[in-house]
Amino acid sequence: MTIYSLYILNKAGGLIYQTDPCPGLNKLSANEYLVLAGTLHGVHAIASRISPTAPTPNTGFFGTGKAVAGNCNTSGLKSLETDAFAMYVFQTVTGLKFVLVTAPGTRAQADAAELVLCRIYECYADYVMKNPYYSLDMPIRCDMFDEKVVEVTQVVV
Amino acid sequence: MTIYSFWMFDRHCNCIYTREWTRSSPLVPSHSSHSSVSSTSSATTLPAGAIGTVNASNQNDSAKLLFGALFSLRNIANKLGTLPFNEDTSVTDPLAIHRKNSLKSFATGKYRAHFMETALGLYFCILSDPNVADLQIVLKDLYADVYVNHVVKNSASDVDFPAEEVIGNESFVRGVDQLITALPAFA
Repeated sequence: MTIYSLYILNKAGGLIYQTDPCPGLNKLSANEYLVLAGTLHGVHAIASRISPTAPTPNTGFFGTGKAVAGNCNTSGLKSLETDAFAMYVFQTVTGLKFVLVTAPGTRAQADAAELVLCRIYECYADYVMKNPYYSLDMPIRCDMFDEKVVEVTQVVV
Repeated sequence: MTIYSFWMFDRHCNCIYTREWTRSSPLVPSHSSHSSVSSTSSATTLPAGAIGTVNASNQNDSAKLLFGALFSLRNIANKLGTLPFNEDTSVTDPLAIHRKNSLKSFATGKYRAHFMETALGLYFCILSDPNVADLQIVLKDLYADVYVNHVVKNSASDVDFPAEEVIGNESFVRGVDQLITALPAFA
């Protein structure tokens, strides 16, 4: 699994982190990346509204298994397949979204991608949230987080 | 595994055909009063023995939301990805030069939307269970066999539909049903 890009979106749909471990995607301007993040945020919300199955009643925080499985994204946009890349979205309980763009692969790749996203979420918790100089929902500028993300994405490659 | 519905949008962003196999009520209750009226008047009669609805949701909010989601994701796919130009395929596939990176499907935990766009900007979309395998071939068949034969080659049928006009053509409805209900994923 080649990882092309990683984006982190705050709960309002703003892009707060972006890295491209491997080349393979077109380079966009800074503004276009912000638009892309906002669009993904919107489509994520729309996708949960057009479900053809009856909505399952919310049985509460613990009943949904949110506390156990890191990814609480069950009804919103989860993955995207195109000819040139695949995209996986991981949403935390607090509404933060981790978006991983990889080379196109089989359906089994979704599990591997979710594992990578889980690892990155751990790094986020350890090196961004525990950084006293980081203010919530603002762009992430933490060198240690950068290093850890490189580590995680390199292990996969 | 299930296939829930089939949707078609034309290049003017109008929903020109919907076929839902599972539910009769609209996915998203519509707030505008006119849409419920027009959707009943434009509803097409089903072939005998078929379940579900045809052209019942063309004007309601779920059609618009689905189009919006597909349109946005298709733009992201076009912008972010490039396909390397391949001389071998450009010989066999005359459309290869114009090929952009196209969206194939998107999925949530509850369903998967399979997507195909034709060269003329027509959108084909099938909503199915998230575990259903790639349906690109089926979408291509729906276009090349069903749409081309029953709408394009049909001199009595419109090709470019005015606003709020839908494909009510019985042979088209039957053709789509035959193709989809024969799939192993349709159960």
